[in-house]
Amino acid sequence: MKWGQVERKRMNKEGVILIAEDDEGHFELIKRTLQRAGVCNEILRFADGQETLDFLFIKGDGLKREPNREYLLLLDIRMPKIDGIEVLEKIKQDPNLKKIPVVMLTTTDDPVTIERCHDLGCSVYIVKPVEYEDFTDAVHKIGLFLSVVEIPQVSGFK
Amino acid sequence: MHPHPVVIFDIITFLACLTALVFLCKSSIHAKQHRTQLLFSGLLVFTLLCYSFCLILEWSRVTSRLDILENFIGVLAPMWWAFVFYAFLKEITEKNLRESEARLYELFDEAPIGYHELDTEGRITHINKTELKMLGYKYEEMLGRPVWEFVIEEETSRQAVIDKLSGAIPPGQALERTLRQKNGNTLPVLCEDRLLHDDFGNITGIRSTIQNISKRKQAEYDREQLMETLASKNKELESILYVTSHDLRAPLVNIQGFSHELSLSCEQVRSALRDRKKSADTDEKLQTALNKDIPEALGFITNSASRMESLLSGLLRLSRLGTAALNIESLDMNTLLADVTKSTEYQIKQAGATVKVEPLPPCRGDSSQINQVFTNILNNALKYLDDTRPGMIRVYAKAEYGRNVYCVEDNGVGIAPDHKEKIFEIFYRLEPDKKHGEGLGLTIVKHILERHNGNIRVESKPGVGSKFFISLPSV
Repeated sequence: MKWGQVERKRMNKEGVILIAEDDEGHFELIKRTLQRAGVCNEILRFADGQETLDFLFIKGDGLKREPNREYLLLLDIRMPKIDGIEVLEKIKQDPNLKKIPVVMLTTTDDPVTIERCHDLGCSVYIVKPVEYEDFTDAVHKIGLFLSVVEIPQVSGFK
Repeated sequence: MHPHPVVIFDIITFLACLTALVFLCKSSIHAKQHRTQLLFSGLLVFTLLCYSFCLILEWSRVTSRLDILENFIGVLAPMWWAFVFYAFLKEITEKNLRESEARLYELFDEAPIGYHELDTEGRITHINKTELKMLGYKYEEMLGRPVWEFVIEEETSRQAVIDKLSGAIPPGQALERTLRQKNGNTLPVLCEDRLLHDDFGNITGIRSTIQNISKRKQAEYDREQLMETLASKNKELESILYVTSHDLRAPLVNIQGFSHELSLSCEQVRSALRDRKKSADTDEKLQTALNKDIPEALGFITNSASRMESLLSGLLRLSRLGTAALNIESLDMNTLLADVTKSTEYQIKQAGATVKVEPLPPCRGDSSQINQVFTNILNNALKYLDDTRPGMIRVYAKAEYGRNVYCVEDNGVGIAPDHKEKIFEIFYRLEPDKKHGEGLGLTIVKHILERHNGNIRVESKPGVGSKFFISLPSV
């Protein structure tokens, strides 16, 4: 693989990568591949849509989002309780949270779903390929994307 | 003594006159007395009187012939002959006409479609038996009433009839209308109008044919229903395919990914072993690979493989459910629920719950499949009990329009409104990390109930509990 080292690391080390993924194995693979691609930001995992929303909207008694930090969300679609599309919808409806870049990373390659996610305002849509090489390729690309993207800070709620 | 030939001629003429009189009298019964007819009758009676007078005189030989009278009769005789001939022809023609008219009326009345005629005001002037039978009215009840009074789409019909009568819109286009029957029911019909004109081309009314299309409408409705069922089945199938392909792919990603991780770990072990100078660093690398990375990868691979296995066997179970023959019989639900609670006794004890079954009415269904329905629901209720309070599950029923609605009520964790539909989705699990299962229980329940012409719905309050309502045909 020719990805090599990424020289410019625009994404601040302070930036946190949120991964909403119900499958532990998938999360582990994504994390490892991201780290191999040179992304060394803090990574947080949420097992379902509810946990993700609780974190972002500062609700519940789990981990909470800190104001004025940079976040990026990798979002799976099919998850228990609240699915990824609903999470995306809620984030993009919020005037504050909608600045967070959302990368859809899912096994669903249904064109209707892909279009819907784009309509709702996801930044990137990537299908989790079954083939390992393709998978690492995809996650590598996300790693590259993360290293060049300018992530806005999200302020807290009033 | 032979009578004089002229006398024979006279007798025949006399008879002709008599016949003419009979014809005239007969036709005067049918039709109104006409002025010419009156004149003819007068003349006839007069002639007959003259004749009788002459004949009597001649036969009695009281006196010789009265010449003036004789001449008068001689002039009139051919006229009477002509009249008799005319009257005879007329009688034959009229008889034919009456017969064909009767035939026509029979056709009109007994036609398989309804007929009616309207005057220039849209009032019914004529209506056939078929249409009367269609609507259940008597002839007098419909005669003279505006036709739109019998149409559900009253205003539309009124406007259309008035427009047609005024010549504003051409008739001829078949329209679908709904007629009001006397008993209050409605009848879908196909109505076709034709305008009636007088000799000067003025519109004098409308003649309409009315066709009963209720059978066609019923067929159309049935077809629509079928299409809807098909569409929903199709959608369900699509969603099963969609979900299945997604859920089957997920473990594959893991198997592929961690196989590669394994090979990476192997490479690490190999390179560590190649390292001649065994330092603490290589030792640690070996330890990590052998004790952490490799077992972890193997764990993920094994788990994913068994996940796939359980998904596939679940799919197979669901597909077998659709082909299994149903043995529909009257089910004693009290016995059935006793069986269900007995077979789940262990789980009930484990959950520390109390299950209370109230007397239940019998229903119709396949005993093993309905048993499966209640077992699955009871298991679900036990699985999602709230740890903070003792579990209480209650089963009761009420009758509702020829159906029985059985309710399984629990005081468990409840279901958020957003998940009410999702819980019936194939492979959907609310808390996959905490509870084991395939996410098939409620899908199977829904499937079984659909085949039993039943249904299931859920009412729930998060934190309070859920009520599953199962509707089944009653005995």
